[in-house]
Formats: sequence, structure tokens, C-alpha cells
Amino acid sequence: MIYCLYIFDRHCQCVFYTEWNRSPDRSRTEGSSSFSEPPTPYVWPRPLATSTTDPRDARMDNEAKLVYGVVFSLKNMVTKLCHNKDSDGFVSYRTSSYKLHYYGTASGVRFVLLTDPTVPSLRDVLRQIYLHIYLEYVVKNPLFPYDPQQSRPISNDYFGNMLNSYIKGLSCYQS
Amino acid sequence: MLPHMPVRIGTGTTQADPRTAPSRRRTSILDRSLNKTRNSEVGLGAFGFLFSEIIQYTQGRVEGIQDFEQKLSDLGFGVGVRMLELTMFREKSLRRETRVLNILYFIHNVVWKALFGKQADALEKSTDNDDEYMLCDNEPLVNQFISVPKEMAQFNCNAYIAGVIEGILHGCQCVARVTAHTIPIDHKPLRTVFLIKLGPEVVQKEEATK
Amino acid sequence: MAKQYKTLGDEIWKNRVEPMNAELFIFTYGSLVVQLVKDYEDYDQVNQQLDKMGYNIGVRLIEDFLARSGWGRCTDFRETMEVISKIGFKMFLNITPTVTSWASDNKSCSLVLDENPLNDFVELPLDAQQQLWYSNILCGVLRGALEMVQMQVEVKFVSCVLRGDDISEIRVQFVRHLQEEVPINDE
Repeated sequence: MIYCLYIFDRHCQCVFYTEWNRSPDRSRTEGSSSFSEPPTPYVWPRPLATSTTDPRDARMDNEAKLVYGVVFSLKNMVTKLCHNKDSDGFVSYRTSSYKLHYYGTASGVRFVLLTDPTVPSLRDVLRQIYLHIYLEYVVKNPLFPYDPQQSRPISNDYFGNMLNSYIKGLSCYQS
Repeated sequence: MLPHMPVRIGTGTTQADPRTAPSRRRTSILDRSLNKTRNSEVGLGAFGFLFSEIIQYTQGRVEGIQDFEQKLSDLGFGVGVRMLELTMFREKSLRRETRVLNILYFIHNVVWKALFGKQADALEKSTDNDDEYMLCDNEPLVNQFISVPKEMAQFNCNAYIAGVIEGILHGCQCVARVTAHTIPIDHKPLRTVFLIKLGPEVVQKEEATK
Repeated sequence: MAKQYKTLGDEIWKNRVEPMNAELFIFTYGSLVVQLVKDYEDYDQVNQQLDKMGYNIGVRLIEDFLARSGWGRCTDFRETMEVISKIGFKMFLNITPTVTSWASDNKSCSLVLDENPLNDFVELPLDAQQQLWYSNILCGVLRGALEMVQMQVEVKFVSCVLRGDDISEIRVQFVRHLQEEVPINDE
């Protein structure tokens, strides 16, 4: 089962977060039952233009920093302990309740995916997201500002929609 | 003012002077084969990134979507004129098409194939207006890189290709106004219709030669 | 080393790159340069603008390069230049410039473009031959792309066949490795 995805930019900022099957107390908004159409996935950070807020927003900033900190330290530790320069470095870790999958690029973009602990390696899934969704809809698109000098939340519906349908199509999405 | 455009194709004569220092191995444009690039290819990404940057540069210098599309069309116009020169040269048919329908078929088949590696998907005459034709492309190349934000919904970056078509028509003495419109059909969300509105003098000439 | 990259570059071109007709690309670049000449009316400014636009392209294009090539290692400057020539140029322009004229400190070298699709069909008016670096966009692309992988470089054309030179040569000078940013500790 896939829980959520974080994307961090080269300035260590979380520019995109969304979740799918997180525990009901966090992801279900009031009034939605399992019989109704699932709500559009929660996305953070919000584009500056939107004024709506979500009670989850307040927690997210801290959570994102924490996740980044963990990934950053683990990556450094793994690199220090491993002297083979061809190694992939830090790829994932697992606890009894979840598994964290990591994929980072030489340009400093980092993808972090949380799933349940039984899911096999999703490094390829993250690479596909980078190659086919992030690249096509975020990097290549001239009509949405993209400036690697400063952090900017990804507020591009096409990206969100493509990502959502890709993740939902994975065999490990809900199983 | 600066002189005319620095990009030139065809048989200019400025560099043909044999007195230029013979030690230089410099190849004049005249020595290069115009067929060299016929089958040459670049990565689609190279075009995508270049076109994206052109879109951004242009967007920063326009007011409103209409102006934006017009500027892109102007850029495409020159490309159309050059593409026509090159294609005519290759087709070895020095005679230019003069009948409107023949020119449009030429664009639909030959030009589209040269530009995009496939024919256009349809060519239709408008049922409402006698001076209008529609050329359709179900999956236009330039839209592949560009998703349009909601607030710009009417914008279609194929205005650039519309300009290319206008340039080609112009080169065939067929003055027309070409605009690009997104008209999706099932499973073809990017389908673009190029609306070709012929100038009144072209319509008159057609009538006269019927 | 160079040979291995050549093989990889060819493989990527064949299997992982969608090709397109070069002419639309060439003419599109031409129409951009013509537009810039109209907008700026000064060749030096056009050079600068081309470099700037190239930079904007480079910072995006690097992601395409990394994603498609799967390149993920930090390499030294010498190796990086081989990768740029054999894989980078191959992937986007389908050419492989020669990496040559290394300085003794290994911090600068030249890319000699035996072929340059941007130049095809181009002939510069005489006054432009003195000032315009027609393909200057390439310099910006290299600078932007390398900056994103933590390498600061200076890039400039030193000769160009369109100006009457025998070869087209881009000089690349390594400046320094940039530090990867670290999270700010705001506890």
C-alpha cells in the first residue's frame, strides 16, 4: 500500500507532497465515507493564490523538514560507509509500520515515497515519476514558472493528475 | 537599424568571391549541400527546450493572449517561407503550385511529412464560409511539451505552426490568415484545427480561373 | 574512457531519444536569432541574450539528460567534458564535438564542433560576422546545466566558421565545485 510522496528541490525545500492511503485520522476529511467518490488527494504546499487552508497544513511543514533531515543524514551515512563509487547509495529503509523509498538526482531533486513495509523496492517507480511525469510536466513546461534558483511549490494540475493516475495504477497501490 | 535577417538560404552570392584568401578552408554556404539536412535528425528534447524558451521570452514581451499568439505566428512565418524554399528545391518542381487546393494538399502531405514525419490528419473546406479551410492535426508536436494553465485556456502554442503555414502560403502567392484552435475529440485532447482564411484577392483569382 | 561514453551515447540516441526532423529545429533557432536582432539591434546584446536563454534551457535540460541517461555520479571535470561531448551533445543535437586542447592544470579545454546543426543554412551579413556568435546559446546551456550538478564554469566561443574561422570552438573553463545545499537547522 502506498501512503504518500514528498518531492524536495535542490534547496532542501519540500515543493510537493501528496498522500493516498494514509490513516483515516489524517487523510479523511469529515463527511466523506468509503462509499462516496474519494476526494482529490491532499496536496501541499498550496499555491500562493489559493486561500483555503486545511488543518493538516500546520503539521506539514515540520513533517517535511523531519523527513528531509532523516533522508539527508541517511544518505550521507550510507555514502560514508560505502566506498564503491558506483553504488546507488541510500535506497530505502524499513520499520515495522512503513518503508521509505528514496531516489535522488545529481541535480539535487529528491523523491521520497512512503509505503507499507511489505512493498518491494520502488526505486524504479520513483525514476519513472522523475523521467515521465516530473520532467514532462514540471521541467519542460514553459507556461509554469520553473526557476532552480528559488524554491517554488509545484502547483501544476497536470503534474498532480498524471502522478495520481500513475500511482493508482500500480499493483501495490492498495494491496 | 540592423540589416536584414542573418539567416539566409538559397543561392545568395555574397561569399562566392574566389579572391578571398585561398588558404582558408572555409566552406561557403554555396558549397554545402542543401540536401545534407534532409534526413538529419536532432533529439526532440532539443526542440522542446528551445521552443519552451522561445515561448517564455515571447510571453515576457506581450500583452494578452492575442498578442502572444500573433508574436509566435510572426516567428513561424519566416520559418514557413524558408521551409517552402527548401522543399521546392528538393521536389525539383520549380513551378509553384498556384491553385489553392493544390497548395493546401501540398502542405497537408509534403510539408507536414517534412516537418513532423507524418501527414496531417484532415483537410476540410468550411461548410459555412467559402473562403475558409481547416487543416487538422490530432497530436501536434509542439503541444507535447506544453500544458496550458487554466487562466490561459484559449491559448494554443500552435500559433507558431499557424505562422509557418501562413509563411508557406505567402510564398505561394496565396495570402491567407491562419489561426490555431484547440478542438479536442475523443482521446485526442490536444487536437488542433488550423483555420485558414483566404484573402479576398486569392478568392477572386480562384473564381476567375475556374 | 572516451570510447565507453561514445558507445553509451550512441545507445541512448538509438533507444532512449525521440528523434525529430532537424530542419524545423534549425529554422526555429534561426527565427529566434532574427527576432533577437530585431529586438536588441545590437549584436553584443544578442550574444548576451542568447547566453542567458541558453542558461535557462540548461538548468531544465540537465534534468532531461540525467533522467534519460541515468547519470547519477559525481565526476571530475575531465570526465564530465567527455560525458557532455559523447552523451550530452549526442542526445540533443546528434553530434559529438571533439574535446581537445586541455590546459596543463586540467581545468580548461575546448569543444570543437565539426558539425553544428544550428549553423546549417546560415550566412551572416558582414557586420554580424565581426560581432555575432550565432550559436552562443550553446554556451549558456553548458553553463546552466553544469551549475545544476554543482560545477561552476565559464563558457565562450573563441572561433566560429560563420565568422570565417577554420573551426568552431567553444572554450570551457572550470571555476569551482559548488557546495550542495544542506538543510537549515532551525531548532
